Amino acid sequence: MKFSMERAALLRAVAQAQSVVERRNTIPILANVLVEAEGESVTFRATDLDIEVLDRALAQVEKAGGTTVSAVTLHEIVRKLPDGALVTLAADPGSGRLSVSAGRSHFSLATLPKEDFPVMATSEYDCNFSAKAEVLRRLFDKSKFAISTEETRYYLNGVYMHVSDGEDGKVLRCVATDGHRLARIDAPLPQGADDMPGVIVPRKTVGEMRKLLDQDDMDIAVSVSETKVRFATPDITLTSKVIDGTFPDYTRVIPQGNTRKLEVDASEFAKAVDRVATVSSERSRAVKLQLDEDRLILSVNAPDSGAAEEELAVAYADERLEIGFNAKYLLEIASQVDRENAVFLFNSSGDPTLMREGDDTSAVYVVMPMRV
Amino acid sequence: MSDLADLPEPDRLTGAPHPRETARVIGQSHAEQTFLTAYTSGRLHHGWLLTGPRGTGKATLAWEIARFLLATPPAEGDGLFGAPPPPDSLHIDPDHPVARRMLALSEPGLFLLRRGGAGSTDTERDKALKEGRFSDVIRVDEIRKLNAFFGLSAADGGRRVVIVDSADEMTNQAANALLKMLEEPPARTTLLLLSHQPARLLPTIRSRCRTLRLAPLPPEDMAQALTQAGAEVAPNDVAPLTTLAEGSVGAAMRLLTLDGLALYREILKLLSGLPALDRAALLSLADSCAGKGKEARLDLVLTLADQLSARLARTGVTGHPPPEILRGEGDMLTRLAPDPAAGRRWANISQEAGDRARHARSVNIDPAALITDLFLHLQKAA
Repeated sequence: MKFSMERAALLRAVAQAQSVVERRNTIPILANVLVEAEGESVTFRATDLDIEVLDRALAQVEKAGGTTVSAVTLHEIVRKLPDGALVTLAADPGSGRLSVSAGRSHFSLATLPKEDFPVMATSEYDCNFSAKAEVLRRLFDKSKFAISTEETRYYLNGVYMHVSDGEDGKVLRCVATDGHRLARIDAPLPQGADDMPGVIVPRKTVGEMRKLLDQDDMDIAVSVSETKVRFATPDITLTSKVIDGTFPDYTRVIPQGNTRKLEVDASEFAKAVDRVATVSSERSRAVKLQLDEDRLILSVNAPDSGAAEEELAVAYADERLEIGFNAKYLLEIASQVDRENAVFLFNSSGDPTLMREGDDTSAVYVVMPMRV
Repeated sequence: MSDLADLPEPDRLTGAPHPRETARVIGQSHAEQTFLTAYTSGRLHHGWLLTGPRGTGKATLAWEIARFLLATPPAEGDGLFGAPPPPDSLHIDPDHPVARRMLALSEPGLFLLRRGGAGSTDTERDKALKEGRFSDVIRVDEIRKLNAFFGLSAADGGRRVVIVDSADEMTNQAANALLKMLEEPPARTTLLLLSHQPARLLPTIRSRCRTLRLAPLPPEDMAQALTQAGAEVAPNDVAPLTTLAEGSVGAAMRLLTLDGLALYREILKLLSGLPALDRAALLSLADSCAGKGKEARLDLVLTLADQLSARLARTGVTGHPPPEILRGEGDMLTRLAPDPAAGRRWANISQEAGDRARHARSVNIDPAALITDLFLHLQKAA
């Protein structure tokens, strides 16, 4: 194998690939990136056995072939090379080394045989469709905060992506919950996604995938099967296992009959919650909401450290209500709102509360109250 | 860290290849056949307990089974020409992609459950693991990693195999955590548990597994197994080595690397003079076990002395000596243990000496003193 490419392009490709390599990994081959040159392009592949990232870049290929080399070392070398340099990578089958040269710098890196590298099979997906990066980004960004970190209910450690019935026909829906709060985000169903099996996309995959979605107009090819999910741009392909479990029936926990409506400016609300929560140092800081006609009093009372209170002008026309929430949950939910006012729908101080953005039902959040 | 051979691993025996590098398990065709029959019957049990003395090939067999299961696609009904013939061997070509990946520890369908690094925090354990300092037990944290492995879908929807090396090292907490998965593993999953002392496992673990018993190896198989493991052994030494190692390849490898036969000869010579004891020879033996890096030799001397007193006890009780390991041994055994009473005395001595040695090791007594004490103790019995 021998090829040359520009340093910036090489750096981008290697950086993408190496980000998936597990830092705590002890298995030599899994610390490596699989470099394969063929035709006019070079691919860089890295995996932690659960997620695989494949990066494709154009290069001047002199000789096709492939080898594996330490991802971190290669990344560091390329990063330290001067900008604009032309980098040549050549595998020497005799010594089993990969030589990297740019200008007057020469490196010789130890390699491992590419046959030892686990490559995720790319075949048999039940469903393939294409979606704009912007759409996917909204689906996952707005839901990922609610992903559970608790290991016993492992089926909550991801975002449940599936097809569901929305108010105006079928939608592509992402749901995440940790049992205390829940996020349900809908997007118009992309063409060809009707038969998509519901999959739970693991947290790490959601994080890795996010890096693919920076350009709004980019079309992302999504492929889904019962056991795997793949997101691809022309340059990067991310393949991941999915969580092998059944996502609970979340529709049961989304309240339908909440009628007490509070409308508030989301950022003002978030800032106020943040301020009053300062006095409490406990992990689960409870904030009390006292609602009266067009008036909201937020208060925190921590016997050890002090008390805080703040009043906000809001739109509220129902009877008096006192309800408590975990400050962190309220903050995270309020920060999802970016266009209109936040609308909270309460029932009683013991029932789950619903939050949405204005009258938009394509993003709905549920949060459980706390006893205060 | 580019070479797997340099990687510190808790399940590797010093001086011997790792079980995954051993192409074939030798002398265990009965166990292999039992598994194959269960496989071809189409009703493969998901939990298997591989038992047998240390070093008889449990791990090698487990890796062989794992290779076989992961490399053999599940049969998909009868084709146009009927079902393909059932496999007649567990052997998988070492160049098979699955075999290659397993050797590199990168096969996504395999989970290896073994001891982690020593230490009380995650950071400490990670560091210890890289330096080759291992915990004495399989902790519950290791089992939780298995949880994560089962939590995700199987790679390519295929089989998954878990090797627990060894189940004896699990803490009670870990064993109970494993129990859940042993009861209801995900589809197409096989768990292979290795145990040197199955009686000491939790009964709940034992009852959920089908047992595959591995027998000690006869001398012919031993010669072949030692050659495969890369050891050189003179043809005349094979039979005594097999008896001394009690049919365990692992023990034989240890005897070979530490020159165990010569050591046994030395101990025999020392005891053959009983009730008189050659103090000078004893001192030189004791000295050879003291010092840094001699721990393995010390262990071996203790084991061999223990074995010898057990043989004496057996001679006394049964009235005739067991098969000789070295020439002339029989006469000496009969002379020192002429009747059942003497046999019982030797048995008691053997147990006492063992207890004393264990205690001495736990409080870090000088090895030379320990050896001297042991032999003076034996002298008393004669």
